[in-house]
Amino acid sequence: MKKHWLPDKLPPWSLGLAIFGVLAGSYLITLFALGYALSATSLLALPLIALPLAATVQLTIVNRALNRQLDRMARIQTLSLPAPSRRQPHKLLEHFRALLNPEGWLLAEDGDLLHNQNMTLGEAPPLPEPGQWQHQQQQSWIRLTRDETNYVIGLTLRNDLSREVIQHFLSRLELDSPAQQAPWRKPLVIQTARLRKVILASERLTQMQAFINNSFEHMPDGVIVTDELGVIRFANRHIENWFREPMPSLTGMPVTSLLEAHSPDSQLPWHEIVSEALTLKESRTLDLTLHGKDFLLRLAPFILPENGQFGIITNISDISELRAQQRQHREAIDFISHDVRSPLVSQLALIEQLKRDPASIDDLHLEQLGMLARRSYSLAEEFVQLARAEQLTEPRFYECELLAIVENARDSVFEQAQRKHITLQLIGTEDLWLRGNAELLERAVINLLTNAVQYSPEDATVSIHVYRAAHLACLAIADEGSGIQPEELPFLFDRYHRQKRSELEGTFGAGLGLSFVKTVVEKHRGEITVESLPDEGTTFTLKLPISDPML
Amino acid sequence: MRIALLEDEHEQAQRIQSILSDKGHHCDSFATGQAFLGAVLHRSYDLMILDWQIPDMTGIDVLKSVREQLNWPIPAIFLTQRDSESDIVCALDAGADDYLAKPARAAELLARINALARRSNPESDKELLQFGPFEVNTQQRSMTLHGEPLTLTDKDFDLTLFLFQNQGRLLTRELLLERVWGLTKDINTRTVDTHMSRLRRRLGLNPENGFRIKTIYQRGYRLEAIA
Repeated sequence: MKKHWLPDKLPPWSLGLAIFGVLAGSYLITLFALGYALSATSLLALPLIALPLAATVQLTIVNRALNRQLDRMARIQTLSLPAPSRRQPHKLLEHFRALLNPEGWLLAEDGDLLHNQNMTLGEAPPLPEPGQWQHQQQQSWIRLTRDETNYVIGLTLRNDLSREVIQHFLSRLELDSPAQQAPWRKPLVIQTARLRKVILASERLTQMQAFINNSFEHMPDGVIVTDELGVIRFANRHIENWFREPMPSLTGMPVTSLLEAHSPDSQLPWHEIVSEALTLKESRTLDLTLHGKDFLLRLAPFILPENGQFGIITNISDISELRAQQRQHREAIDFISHDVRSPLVSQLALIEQLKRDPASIDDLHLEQLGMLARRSYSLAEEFVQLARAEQLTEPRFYECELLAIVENARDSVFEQAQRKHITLQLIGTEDLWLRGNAELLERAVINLLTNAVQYSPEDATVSIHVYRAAHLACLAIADEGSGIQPEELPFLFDRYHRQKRSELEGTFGAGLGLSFVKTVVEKHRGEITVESLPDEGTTFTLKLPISDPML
Repeated sequence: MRIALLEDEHEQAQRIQSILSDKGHHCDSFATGQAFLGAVLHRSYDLMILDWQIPDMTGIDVLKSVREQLNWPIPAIFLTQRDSESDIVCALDAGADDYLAKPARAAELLARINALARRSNPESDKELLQFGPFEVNTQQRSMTLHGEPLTLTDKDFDLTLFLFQNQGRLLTRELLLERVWGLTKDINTRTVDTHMSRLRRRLGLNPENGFRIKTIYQRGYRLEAIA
């Protein structure tokens, strides 16, 4: 509801005066009407005059006290975001430059150039509407009015993938100052200044509360605020989601009960941790596991200086990703310390042995050394490939065609397949264009084909289907091998996971080959699935989004 | 051929030198960019092989200096640490003619050198040319595979002959466009890619027939004969 019809300013005593006026007026009218009964009415005159006077004085005192409070409330710093439409154009440009790091910019005031870099006023398109961005390729222009002065701001954005998004973002901003508001209409009902202040103050309080609530709700972390007895008085929606407790049951619940119910196996009992934070006023940081996810929990006591009230503010951050990275790191170190080292150790041992008895060196030894060295080399290769796949980003994608990629991969594996008399049968006729990194995609297909050839018996056929399913480019590679054990399937794409049978059959590979495939496919926003039947064979199916033909 | 090699690892250098001298080439090896530049700019070599990482400067810088200072486009092969697109693109942009992933295999190295050497003295125009199971009649502009005639358009014929005559050599998309389509303008690269895919399917340019088209993505192609 808009409340701007309030009068601009009225003195604080006006209400008293008005009441007094009404009463005095009615008294005089009475006198006129009953002119003859002066003596009788003079008895009434005293209370008629005295009562309004006393009331007026009392009202004025109350009024003054209220006004002081209201003035104080009005002076509280507002907690809301100032609208960009109020900002001066040079400030706006400064903020744009800090935020967007444009290649060029320009600011002009009433046709006079103030600053510019790599842009000139001559390049500006017509700007009929103030506050409306005009985008032409990399350049974005806007005209703004401030106090009847016209400003032009120009930005040259970087020509990368984020450009369109930024232009869209700019267009959504309200930058021009709102049209001048109509002059105050005299209100029909007389409003006192105090009422206006009350309305303004309550508006501000509501705004502030909404701002604080919103900020709390949208904080990247979960927040719990308790009172001095550790009872939850406030929690944001992360808490609701992570603990899977509905909001109404959260408020009023002791925080220790919440933590004990959801994370019973902590290093120290929760009541001890919480009561220490309250009694000793000490901050603490702890690990927390909730429904399989890792969190960091920080407890900090707080005191309100006005009234000495205290409690705990708890901050809970989701660190699952960080923990997962740490795990990957550990796994990589384990992998290096075992799988990479062992063939190297064997090589050194073999060389030592041959040094002691150089006469015994024969082709078999050299073959063995060569095999060990090749194993080390292929492990290093797999490692590097996986690292490269993980660093793949979409800005480095380009147009490539799946069928050609698969043909290249097939040709690369051909000789290997021929040694086992395996036929690589490619079925596919349609060119399927997509945006991606063809080199890594080819590598991924080679990995799948190499696996298929490795696990196929001699004289078998590996069939390769390339086809389109709606907006997806699909590739299915089916072998006639012995299949994968059902219990192995869930771990197939896990890093450093080695299939048991590959160890038994003596083929190398640290299990990085399939993690590489999965990483590449995921970086292309695709998916990979596997179906396997023991003694019938395994089929890997890869689905990648087809690029928009209009692009 | 007289070949200059820039390689700071002694074992690698010796290996390459012995591969080359077995085939009757003469190869001088240099361990630093300065020594290499001094030699290449003042003595006459027919070809150079450069390693990526050397102690005093990068192989790319050496190549750039040679391209700036030498008055003829001496063929250059880059040794890259791995078969990575970004390395290859970087080397080709600096003016390399081809690349080879380390550790270089003897057969591959010799094939690359031969392909680049052939460029200076292309095969004389014989009427009948034999490439594995493919036979090309340059007078009639026709081609057979295992004695069976292949139907080819003029463009297909030109492209195929160009590929066969430049076996083992990296042919950039731009070069193919210029030589076969007669265009130097930057037309849609899909045209080359699509045409190439069609051609290899129609001709059967695959390992079953003794050939393989290696795609160097975003750059070009190389027709390789399979041993």
